[in-house]
Amino acid sequence: MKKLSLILIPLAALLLTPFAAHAGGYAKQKVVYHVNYDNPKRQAGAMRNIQNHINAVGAENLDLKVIMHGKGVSLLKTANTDENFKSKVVSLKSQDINFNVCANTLRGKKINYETDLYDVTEEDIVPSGVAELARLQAEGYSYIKP
Amino acid sequence: MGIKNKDTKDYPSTELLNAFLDNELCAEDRHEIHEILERNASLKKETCELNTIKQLVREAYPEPQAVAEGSRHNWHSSAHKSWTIAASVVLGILVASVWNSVAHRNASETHAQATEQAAAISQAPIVSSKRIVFDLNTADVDSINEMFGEIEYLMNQPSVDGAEYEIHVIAHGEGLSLLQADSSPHPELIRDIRARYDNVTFAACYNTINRLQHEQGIAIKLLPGIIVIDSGVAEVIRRQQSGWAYIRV
Repeated sequence: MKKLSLILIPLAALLLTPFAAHAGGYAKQKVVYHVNYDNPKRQAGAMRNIQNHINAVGAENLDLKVIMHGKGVSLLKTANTDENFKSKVVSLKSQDINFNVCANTLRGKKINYETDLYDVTEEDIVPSGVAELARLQAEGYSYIKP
Repeated sequence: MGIKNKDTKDYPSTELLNAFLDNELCAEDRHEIHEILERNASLKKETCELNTIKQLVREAYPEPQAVAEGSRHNWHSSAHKSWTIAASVVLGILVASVWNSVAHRNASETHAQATEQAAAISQAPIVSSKRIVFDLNTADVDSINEMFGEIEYLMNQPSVDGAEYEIHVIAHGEGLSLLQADSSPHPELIRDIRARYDNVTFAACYNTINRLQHEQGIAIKLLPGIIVIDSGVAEVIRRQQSGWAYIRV
């Protein structure tokens, strides 16, 4: 069995090499990422997931939105003060990733998006995080909660 | 979840447990595993979880028909096992190389494949933005409060084209405590929501109830009006397959 694997494994590697070259062969994807938690490690992990997602599928093939509500809004609050978070957000935005914020949360937590959150304009605000997540799924977006 | 008994003699391998759950073992082996599970509660629990996952996979992806009758093997015969592995590696490589060369040689066939894929996608259920499943698997107070806030908000939206929101909360794992009569932090709120909105339902996972009853040795009592479903995860999949939008609380 060992001898057999010695032959088979390199053979398999050889045959599978062309697949690796085609790794970017994904069709267009519509995806919504859901962030409603304030653990900075988990939020940073979510942004890393998104970058890896872009790398795998290609920015030109990807329509990706991040919906933040409840405690998740803290991601853009942190980006206002933390350089590491800010650079991650800037980098993702430069690759056409949308960061949307829930209006209910802003009202409920008395957050002024112009001063308290990093780089949010009126266009980034959605009436309800959950309603938006459901609307996007109805439009064919896949739901991911990292 | 620490399994105390790591003694290999009394600790069946994952492969063996899988074969056990897939009903691929001979009578003595089955009997032996039954005995081991009776002695080891945490392993029994893990096996139950593994079984739940297997059931879900079966539900989501129907099994192919062509499984040979002779596939029930005795897992003691390791020679048989290595040959099966070797054979599947060879077969895998053959399939891969054939697929590979076809994909490279003929661009129009690749296109046909893409069309086929698109057809498969178009068969996916049409998701409604008005029917929402909340997957509640946590006892986190803030997350639960926020879920109730969202429910109130959605139920108070004016209906467009006569379509109103329908909400189904599926509580399983740690999420079950919200619906338990003796531990729910919000019994009044749940009663109130149920009284005000016909379109909001709360469901409790029987697998979780059953597990807690075994672990704690007490009967689990639910709040009034709670639906009991066989499995929380299976219910989530069923709802998604029939076009409900999904939110993980």
